[in-house]
Amino acid sequence: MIEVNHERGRNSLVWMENITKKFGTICALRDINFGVQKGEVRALLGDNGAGKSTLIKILMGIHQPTVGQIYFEGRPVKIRSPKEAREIGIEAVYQDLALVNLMSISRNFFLGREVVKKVGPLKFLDLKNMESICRSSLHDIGIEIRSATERVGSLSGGERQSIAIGRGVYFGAKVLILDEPTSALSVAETRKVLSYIENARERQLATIFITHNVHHVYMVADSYTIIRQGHNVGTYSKGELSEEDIADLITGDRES
Amino acid sequence: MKKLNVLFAVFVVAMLLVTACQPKATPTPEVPVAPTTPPVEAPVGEAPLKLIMVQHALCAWDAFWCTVEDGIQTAAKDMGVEVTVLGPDKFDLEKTAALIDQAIAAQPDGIGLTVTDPVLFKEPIMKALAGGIPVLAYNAGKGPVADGIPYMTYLGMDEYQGGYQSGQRMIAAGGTRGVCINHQVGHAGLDLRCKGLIDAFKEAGKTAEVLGVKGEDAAQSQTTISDFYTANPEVDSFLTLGPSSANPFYAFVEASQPQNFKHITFDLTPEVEVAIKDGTTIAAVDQQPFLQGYGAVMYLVLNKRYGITPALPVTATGPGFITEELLGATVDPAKPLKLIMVQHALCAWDAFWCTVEDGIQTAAKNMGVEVTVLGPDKFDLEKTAALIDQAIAAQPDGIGLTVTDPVLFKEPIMKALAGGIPVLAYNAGKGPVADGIPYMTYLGMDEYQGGYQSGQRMIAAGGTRGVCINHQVGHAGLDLRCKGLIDAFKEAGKTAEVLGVKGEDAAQSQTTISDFYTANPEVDSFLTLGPSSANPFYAFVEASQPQNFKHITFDLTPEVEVAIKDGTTIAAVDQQPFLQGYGAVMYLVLRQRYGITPATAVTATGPGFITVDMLGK
Amino acid sequence: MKASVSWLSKIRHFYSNTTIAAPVTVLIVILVLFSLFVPKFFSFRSFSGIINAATLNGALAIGIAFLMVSGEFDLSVGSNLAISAYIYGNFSVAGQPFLGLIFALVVPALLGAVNGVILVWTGIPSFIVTLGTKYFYRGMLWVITTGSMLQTVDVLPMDKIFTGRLDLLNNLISEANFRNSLFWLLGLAFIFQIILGKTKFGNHVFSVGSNPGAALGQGVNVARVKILSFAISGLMAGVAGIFLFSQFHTVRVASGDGMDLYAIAAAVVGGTLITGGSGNIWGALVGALIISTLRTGVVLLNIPFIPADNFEAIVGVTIILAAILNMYISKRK
Repeated sequence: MIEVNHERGRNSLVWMENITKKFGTICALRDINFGVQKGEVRALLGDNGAGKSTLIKILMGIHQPTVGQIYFEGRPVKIRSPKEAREIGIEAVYQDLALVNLMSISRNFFLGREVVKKVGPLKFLDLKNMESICRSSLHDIGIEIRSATERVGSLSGGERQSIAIGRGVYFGAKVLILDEPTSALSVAETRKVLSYIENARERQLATIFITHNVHHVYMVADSYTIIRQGHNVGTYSKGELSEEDIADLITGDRES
Repeated sequence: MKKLNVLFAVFVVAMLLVTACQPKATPTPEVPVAPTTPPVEAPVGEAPLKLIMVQHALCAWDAFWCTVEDGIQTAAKDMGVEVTVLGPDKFDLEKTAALIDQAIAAQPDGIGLTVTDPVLFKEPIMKALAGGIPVLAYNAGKGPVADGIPYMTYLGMDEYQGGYQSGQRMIAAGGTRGVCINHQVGHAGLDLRCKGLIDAFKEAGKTAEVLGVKGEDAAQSQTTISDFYTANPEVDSFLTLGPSSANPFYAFVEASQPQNFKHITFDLTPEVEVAIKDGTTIAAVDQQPFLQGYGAVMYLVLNKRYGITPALPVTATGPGFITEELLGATVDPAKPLKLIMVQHALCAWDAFWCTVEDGIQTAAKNMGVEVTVLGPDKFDLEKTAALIDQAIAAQPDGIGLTVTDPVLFKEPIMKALAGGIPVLAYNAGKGPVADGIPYMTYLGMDEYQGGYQSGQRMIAAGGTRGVCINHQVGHAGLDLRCKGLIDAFKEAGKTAEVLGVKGEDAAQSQTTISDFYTANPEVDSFLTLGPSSANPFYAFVEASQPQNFKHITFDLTPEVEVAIKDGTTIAAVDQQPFLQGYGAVMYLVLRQRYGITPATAVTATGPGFITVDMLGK
Repeated sequence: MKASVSWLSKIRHFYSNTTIAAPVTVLIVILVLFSLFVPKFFSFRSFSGIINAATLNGALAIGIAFLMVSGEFDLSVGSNLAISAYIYGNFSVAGQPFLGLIFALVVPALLGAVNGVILVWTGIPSFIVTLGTKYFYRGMLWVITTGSMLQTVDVLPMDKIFTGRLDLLNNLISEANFRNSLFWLLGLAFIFQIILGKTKFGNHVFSVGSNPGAALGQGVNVARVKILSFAISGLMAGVAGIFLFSQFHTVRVASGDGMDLYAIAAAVVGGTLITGGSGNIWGALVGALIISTLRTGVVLLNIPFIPADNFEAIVGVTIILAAILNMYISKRK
């Protein structure tokens, strides 16, 4: 087990220190310490309702912590909205909430960061440019698409994940948060998505891989943080525990 | 909180803008619309109007006519006009006809007459009409349509209603089976009375029948009635149609002593008066001759001064019902009266009501009574109901009101009636029967007649096929207007139909009318039921330029006024709000001073027709 | 066999990627069928009549379609139409048509935005919010105007700019009755289609309508997008109100009542998804034309058992058929 060390944590890329979150009288998170370093893939593991998504929503700026402090690149920060999170380089890829199904790949790719060209005083979308940038930048990280104007809704789950990851990489994200990225995918597609994650690690991105199933993440993660009922169970380096040990820690069949 | 303030501010600004410059606009009321009656000519400072009444009999030699002449002279005094009554010194139709000619020669401002013989009188009446003298009939006549002479209206008894309302009163008194004792079967007027009685019993799920007696033989009639009663002992309600049947009926009652019966008869005789007082007879049906005389003068004057026309070919002055209570009341022509009118809207904030209030104040001044008009300062039914309570507390001699909400207003109106205050409705209401509140009458538009008379006018103008453009199919009043139009065309052997349009979308309505006309190019008569259908109709006319069409519409708006003047539209149908106000006061005053009651549940003040002649005035 | 399947799938691909294609095809089919089988239908009288009939509904539908793409409804546009017509009318009568024009656009836009603000603050569905404001706005109009109709017989030059007769065209073609409002509608549809399809804001409108969570995650200000979309629906109701008064010079408190649902019908028939995220402004205009074409066809057919006022039955069937068609097209994988 890796002991909690605030000094070291604050010097990593992201460090969430002593986070407590209460919703009314219910305590969703109690005194959690969690972080990730550059070029690291950190698995965030926990059963359903353990508090994983609450923790991530705090990092995304959707919720504010009741107690605790977030450090980013060594500086204490306050993240008030998803927009602010993205501005400092935190990019989340949710399974259902990442992409807009009824919009084309390129429009999704640039959603919120559209490329515009000026015509007199007016600004219009530069659709041609957006399409070609989208296509080429996806290509750069090994993602091939049929057409940038195709609606996202007609893509497979793996293709959608890959586009969301590719978008994060292109826009210079420093931290990628992946929420159950492989849980609904076929074996072949899962393998593809994992390869994009490795590609991201090579580019020195930090990745937070959230899942309740250690099997999905065991191969790719550098370290594992396990939470249960809002408490830190512990953080472990790769190879420290077996898959079965981690699974037991998640469900509480074994105490650390 | 701050956010709410912003919201509120936005709204207030928005609404202020809606009203911006409102007073400078041409606001016309939405329901019912008809703001402008033709220009009112004040009687002040002018020579008083001169009217001549020609009767086939006179008070001088027939006591019945004293009441009629009393009505005439009272109205003349109230309205400040000069009336001369002409009549022969004995029954002589030739001489009466000659008196009409004499009346015309005097160039009066109006002639009232008894149309005893339409064939003989037609020529002189037509001469008067050709000379621009308004003519109406009273006491004797059948109305302009049945008589075939286009005088304004006939003021007289509604025979059918006489029988019908008698039946209703008998049933209300507990009657279960009725008989109409007819002393002259085959006489159209008497047969109508019996039909009315039978219909009233039928509607209540009971039965009534006709018993013919020989009026000339009182003794035999008495036996016939007695035999009938022996054969039908369950009969408990007796209607006699005049002295010829009432007299043997009283003999039968004296001899056979029937128990628990209800009796109503036509015409008040000394014998009937006694029977009413001792409880034998519920009421005497009266044609109200006073109202015939009074109404004849009133309509001629209102026509001359305010362009008001009677709404129906027959204006019912009877039946009135003389009950024990009325017999006790004394006639007091000078009785000072205090009336209160309660309206859901006022002239102060809705221009339509200025005309109504003008009618009220004119009547008040003419008849020398004090009238207070109450109303809320904005549309508020709760407040209006509270004002009725306030009116009752002031103990007035009569209350007139707009029955906008019969459910809400029922309780206060019942309170007033219980306190002995006469109540009638005007402008808004459905009549005492439909509203379920026993007030005297409702003065308002007869929707069916509005459509029917429009149809007649279109046909007279050469219309051969009609369409009723209805912007709100399913609305009872509008549907009645269409039914009237269709019936008028049907009676003339022609056809008319309904075209439904979406009143809320003028653009859509215009195209629908245009499409309908393309599909049915033989249609040449268009009736629109208000601004919502008239407005797209004019747009259609402008765009499609149809030729030789006839158009009549309900409610006079600025646009309709222009169209009447340029010949696009024949006439605007008007509910005559002035007459609603005037009539409301008049009926309350006549009730208190002379015991007169309105003849029908609904007293039609409209349709009046505003044509180019009337706009010119 | 295989060739025909791919031919069919190509067509489906085209229709699913081109939202405007289906309604235009439907309109053309109806026009051809009516021209062949409905007596007197094939004429410029009918065509100009169909366009004129769609003037108010079309203006409302442009705004409604825009708003529906953002995933919301507006049932208050009928009330806003009447408010705008009263404002424009009152200022016109007072000799200030230009001021009237400005306020008749700004006020409904603000009232539209109020719908959006309530929705964003409270989270109550737009159906409920605008059902409430629909009655509230019209109720307040009733109180303020005391139910009085506003009518003028003076035609201002400004009115002709909006809805005057297009005599240049009408003189060339007999029986034609085109109006200037046609160009305004085309122009407004063009502008709002550009905004929707070719601007950053339009991109955000689509995203908010289809997946507000994802839009929020990508930094789109969902609340702002919704409020602005509501303002646009109010603004177009204002345009419709100006059309009404400038052509008919008459407005009543009941004017435009119930037209909200007709406008939604036009948008749906025009291919806008009822669930948001997909739609086309031109389609809404075409939808309004489809509805008014059907009405003209029905009236011209002169079927005694389908009087014009029973036209609603046909609109109902059309909406359901359009929804089925939309579903079939968008299900393509």
